[in-house]
Amino acid sequence: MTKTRSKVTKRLPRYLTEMIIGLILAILIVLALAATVGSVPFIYQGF
Amino acid sequence: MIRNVNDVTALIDRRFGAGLARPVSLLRTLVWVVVGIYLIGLLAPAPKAGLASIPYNKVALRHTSVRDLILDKNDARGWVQRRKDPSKFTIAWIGGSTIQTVRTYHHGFIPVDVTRRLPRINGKPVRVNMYLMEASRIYDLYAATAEALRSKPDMLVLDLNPIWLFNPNAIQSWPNFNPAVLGSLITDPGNWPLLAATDSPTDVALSAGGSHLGAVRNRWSYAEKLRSLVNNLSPKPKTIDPKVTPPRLTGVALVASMQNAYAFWNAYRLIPANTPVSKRYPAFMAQAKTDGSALNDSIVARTLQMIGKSRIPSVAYTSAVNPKELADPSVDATLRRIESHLGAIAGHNSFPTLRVQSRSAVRYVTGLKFRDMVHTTFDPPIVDYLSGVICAQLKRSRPTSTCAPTPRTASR
Amino acid sequence: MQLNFDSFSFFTNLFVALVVLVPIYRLVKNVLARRLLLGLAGLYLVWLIAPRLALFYLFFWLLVGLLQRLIAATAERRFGTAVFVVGMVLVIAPMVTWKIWTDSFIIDFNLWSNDAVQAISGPWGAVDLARDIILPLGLSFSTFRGLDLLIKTYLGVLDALRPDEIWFFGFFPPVQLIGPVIQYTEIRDGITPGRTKVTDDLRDGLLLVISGLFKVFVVSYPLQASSNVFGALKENSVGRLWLELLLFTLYFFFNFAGYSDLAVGASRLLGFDIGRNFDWPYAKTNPSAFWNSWHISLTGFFRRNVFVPFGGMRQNTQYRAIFLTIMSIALWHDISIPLVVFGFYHAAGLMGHRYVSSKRPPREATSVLARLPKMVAMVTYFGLSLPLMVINADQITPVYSALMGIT
Repeated sequence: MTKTRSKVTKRLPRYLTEMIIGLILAILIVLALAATVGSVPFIYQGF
Repeated sequence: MIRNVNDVTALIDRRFGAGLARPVSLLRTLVWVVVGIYLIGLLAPAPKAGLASIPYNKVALRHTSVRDLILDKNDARGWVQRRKDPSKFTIAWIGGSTIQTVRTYHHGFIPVDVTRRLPRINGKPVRVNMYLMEASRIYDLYAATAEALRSKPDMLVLDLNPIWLFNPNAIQSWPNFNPAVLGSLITDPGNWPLLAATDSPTDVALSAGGSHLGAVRNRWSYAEKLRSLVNNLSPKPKTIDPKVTPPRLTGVALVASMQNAYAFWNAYRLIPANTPVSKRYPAFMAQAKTDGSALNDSIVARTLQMIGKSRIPSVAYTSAVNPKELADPSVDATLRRIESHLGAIAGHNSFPTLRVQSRSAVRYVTGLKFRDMVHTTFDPPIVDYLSGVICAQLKRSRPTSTCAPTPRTASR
Repeated sequence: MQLNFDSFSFFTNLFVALVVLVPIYRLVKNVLARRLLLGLAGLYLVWLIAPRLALFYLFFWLLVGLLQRLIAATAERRFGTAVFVVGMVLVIAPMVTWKIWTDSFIIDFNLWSNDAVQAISGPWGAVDLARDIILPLGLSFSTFRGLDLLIKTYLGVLDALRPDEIWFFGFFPPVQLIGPVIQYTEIRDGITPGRTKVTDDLRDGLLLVISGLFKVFVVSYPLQASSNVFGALKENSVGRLWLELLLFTLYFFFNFAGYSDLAVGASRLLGFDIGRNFDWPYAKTNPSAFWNSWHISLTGFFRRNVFVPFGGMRQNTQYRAIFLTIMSIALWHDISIPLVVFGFYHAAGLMGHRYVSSKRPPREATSVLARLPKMVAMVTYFGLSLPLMVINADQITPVYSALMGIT
């Protein structure tokens, strides 16, 4: 039990990183989907 | 100092347990992405698309048994999902602006007037789910038909505008339907070539994501909130002086001002620039391709097959054309060409529950009034006609049906 | 209508396609098959924009491929230079025609390329007609990639590419629309399986995509209306003008850098490290460092092919080379008076900095705080030139007068 607990504690930063990055990407995807109901042109597409 | 992505990954390795460094870690991250999107839909729910959000339902249709199901042209949800009411006889009515009757101080709809002639069918009150798509083209009707059939109406009525039916220069005007209807169409391999031509990977993702994730499905509602926020950040716009005539647009500015691609093809290729407005609709109709090579043929055929295989009693009719336009022999000849071609396609795709009225309704009714080639201002004759056709087709498909149009009153 | 194309829809198509493409690509070990697969994916993504655009690029890269072979075969001959020059002219012609005769090019480009699609297939023609009317998206970036290929072949730095290599380079998916202006050597080796760790690629790619999405949608999207202020001078105060100019300066960078990150990130997911396109340009303290960190792929192209050949590395000719390079960059944007002014403005800054540095070598402060005043000055200097990218000649005086508070 202690071994498992220390394994989890050791890996906690990794799990937290995965969660945070995953949630950030989720927010960005939802934001992108909402923003692109209109068009989001690339500033240099006319050049 | 973070200078580039290598610095970020080094920091993650050093301080954050080397996250994302292994396949299973990446997989967990992607799971969190899906969980995150799901949670956003729960914690910040966007208003679902409802009947009340559609302008016609708020005013013109408010005291009728007809509801418009079509959402905004940029809304990937496409239409409102309306639960079937078994106590009502539901007709799905699909069409473009030709199912309206508009004149001064009056904005009416042919389906509404039909329900007044057919208030009850099979002992049940009639209600209509109207799929009214302004400026719809043949692919839009195909998509709307797929959706309408999914809702399992008791009857389906499809209005076919002869101007667009076989016009190869304008086959789709509502691409926002693509994700909404993909799920219905993809189950039939016969639809795959058309889907490959019109749908994109984004449509696939929106369809798959939208069916399970509210935040994806309701992005239009989030967009409205986001737009108002962004508009508040914008500088004051230029004030337009109404006394000043805006300069005539030319070149790229003119092209950019056009509403759709079809306007461009007409302006620069299909129709002479000096064509008067009154001659534009006949010119559009004259573009119809009826030699069997148009993509439109496949779309029409697939639409009829979809309807026929559903075994739902259905009527597909060619909408009426202003008889004054038909006084021009070339316009009449074009319409006959279109009618004949539709008849041929219908002949190859005939089903007992589907009636295709390939000849324009104007061949059967008189007394209609129009404001242009196809938009009526006075519709009782066609309402009479369609009420009769609906009842006839219903009895043919379901002989035990009770359906009888009530007589036309002076006001209706 | 969509002359203001939704560039992000290209990337959503790309990233959704990558969900299927990356596993298949990783499983395929044969290099030829990998090239064909990636090229096909790139062509499909362009086809989704409009079949006419895909057909145009098929012909474009066929031309580049043929010219490259011809140049390789004749480089050592007497008329080799003439062949090279003609080749360069042919490749650059569409872009230059577009820049000079914009109106007729846009119209004719759409009409002729649709005619070509219709000639090949009626149903495809109908599909093409349903797509929006478009600018020749990605043409500049493809032109520079093509020119770079021809120049390297002529100089003997690169052998003529095989058809599958041209196909792969021409239609490399992530860079179709917005660049970066990659060189063939940047992706040549990445096609070989096993060169990089898959998890590293996926991780780096994911982080770059996050960076790109953040820059485009969190920072630049809310600021997209900032340049409207240049058309509404009377309606906005001087203070508002300066604020919007600052916001436009931020919008310009974050939109550009964000989309670049998406392209670089997508490349990384496929195992290609094509190098970043921006290196914190707004943190630089002089014009030279700024231009070396802004749109790195493009400025790199001009450095290799204009600055160096015109004597940038020699003391007597360095100022001429600087001037020609920055004017080329300016006029590539548009052949117009505002961009000529833009070119002179930045040429003055670069030449001035070069001159001052030659007299008194600069001592770069190490702390951010110490560098801050120079960073602010550099951003202001660059930001003041940005309106020239979006206004007409007759707006130059009103806009800059308004910024100075002179009505």
